[in-house]
Amino acid sequence: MNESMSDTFRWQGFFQKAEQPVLLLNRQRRVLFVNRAWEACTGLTLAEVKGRACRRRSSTASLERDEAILAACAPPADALAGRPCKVRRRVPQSANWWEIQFLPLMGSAGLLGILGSIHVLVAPKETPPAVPERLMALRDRHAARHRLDDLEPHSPAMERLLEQARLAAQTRIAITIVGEPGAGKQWLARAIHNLGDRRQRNFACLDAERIPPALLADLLFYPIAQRQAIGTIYLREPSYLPREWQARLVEVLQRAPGPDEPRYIVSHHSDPRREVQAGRLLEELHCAASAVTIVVPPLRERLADLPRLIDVFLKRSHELQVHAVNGIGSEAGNVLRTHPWPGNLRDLQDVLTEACRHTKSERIELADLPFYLKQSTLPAERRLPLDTLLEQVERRLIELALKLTQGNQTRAAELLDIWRPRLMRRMEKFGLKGTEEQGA
Amino acid sequence: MQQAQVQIYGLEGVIAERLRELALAQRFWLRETSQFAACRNLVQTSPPSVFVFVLGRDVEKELSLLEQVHASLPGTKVIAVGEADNPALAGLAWDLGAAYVLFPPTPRDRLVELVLHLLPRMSA
Repeated sequence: MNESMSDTFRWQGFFQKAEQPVLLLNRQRRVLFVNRAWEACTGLTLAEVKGRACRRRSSTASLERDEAILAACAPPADALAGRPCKVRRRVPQSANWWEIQFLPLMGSAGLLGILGSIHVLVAPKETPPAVPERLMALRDRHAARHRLDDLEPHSPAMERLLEQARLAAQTRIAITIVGEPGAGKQWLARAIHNLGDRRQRNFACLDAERIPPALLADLLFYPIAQRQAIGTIYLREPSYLPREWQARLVEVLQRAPGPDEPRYIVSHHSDPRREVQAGRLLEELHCAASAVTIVVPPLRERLADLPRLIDVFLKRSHELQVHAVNGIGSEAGNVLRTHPWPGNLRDLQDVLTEACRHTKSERIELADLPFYLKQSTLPAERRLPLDTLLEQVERRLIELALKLTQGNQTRAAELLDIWRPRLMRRMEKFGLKGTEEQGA
Repeated sequence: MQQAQVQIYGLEGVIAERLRELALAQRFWLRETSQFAACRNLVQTSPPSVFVFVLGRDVEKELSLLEQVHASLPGTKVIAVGEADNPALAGLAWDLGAAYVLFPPTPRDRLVELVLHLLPRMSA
């Protein structure tokens, strides 16, 4: 049944029904198919573009409109290498932008073709298209460094973080991010911004602790933020703001956000409730911004992320260094794994950047790491002896069952769903006594 | 503790002079560059605590450096200064990770106060 369905499935008709502009390219980047939404969006027909190549041009100013549109639809190198990706391109002869999602279709012999779907980003009215496309490519590169998809949830805390971040990205309400200094709060705020519907606008990070209050006001209360098309204001440590400004910010947060108003994300490096208790943070401000509170775990609680983070930071470091470093020696790797990282990701990045600057080889070795890291006295790895842990759990459960049944072994065995003789053997092993024996 | 470093690029006139005076008074190290290659080289070899740069000579290179500094040197706070009112460019500088963007109509003389606030707190 399924086979006959797949034989008769008309994929072109399927794509024609889609409201989203879709195009299909072969591996030579030539157009195989475009749907009606694409035709309506570009003003070109399938007959006009079929078989024509979509290739990037250094300048599209001198191109005919149809050539410029095909150039704007050209897949980037990532897509040609088989990696799904998203790019933002200026719509030829328009103030709008396209966000094009490219999905490479792979066969056994490599790339078969590329499916592209276009999302039209309407330019905000107040921002004239004064930023050239090459600068927008820079913006895209920066946005690509902050993607939630790059996070791998190795622990329940990280799974929860990802779920909450995706939820936060779907709304415009103010949210709070809590985490130790350097844990990655700004990274997360940027990732949420990049996933949300205000991603075509800008992200501004304001540090209330370090920036003079008078300079914060213009942006916080947005006469300038609106002009500069700020979509998200990430406010670090709002407890450092003067109280009257905190009160003013509460008023801003309690209003329904207008289409041109920025969205607020606030962050604290310690528990905001303690800041409220200490009188540094207005409770109203905390309440207004904490409909969603995301806790970023410190690096020491997500060491499974360490290899990925090392890889990312080495690549970033290479962008600023002449010297390329490809990896970490095993001894240096052990030291990095056992360090508690009180300064979290920022600390790790500083260590790696400094090590890249000092090393003469292609790998970071123990000698390239700072002295304080090598002196770390922590145990090599936290042990997890399964039998011991299981016995501890078993003992706690038996104690609980005996407590609940006031020491009645028969009822405790029923509660634990085991035979009474087995319970007695385990009690004897753990040195536990029930009231029956005590009473006898 | 290492002495705080402030690096300025393309900044001249009264504000630069006031920063020089501030460097003497507050005992931080002020490095001045007017060539982009020298500026980039200094940032690479010895990352400053605060990096002030005036946007406008080669915007693409300057913003690219801003982006790289934000991604690679989290300890460096970047202040982007604009010569003329250009909201789109200012917005982009925010987006690429500037700690503060000082474009007209905000007066440029606020820069001195801003640098002072962004300097790392020195322990006694």
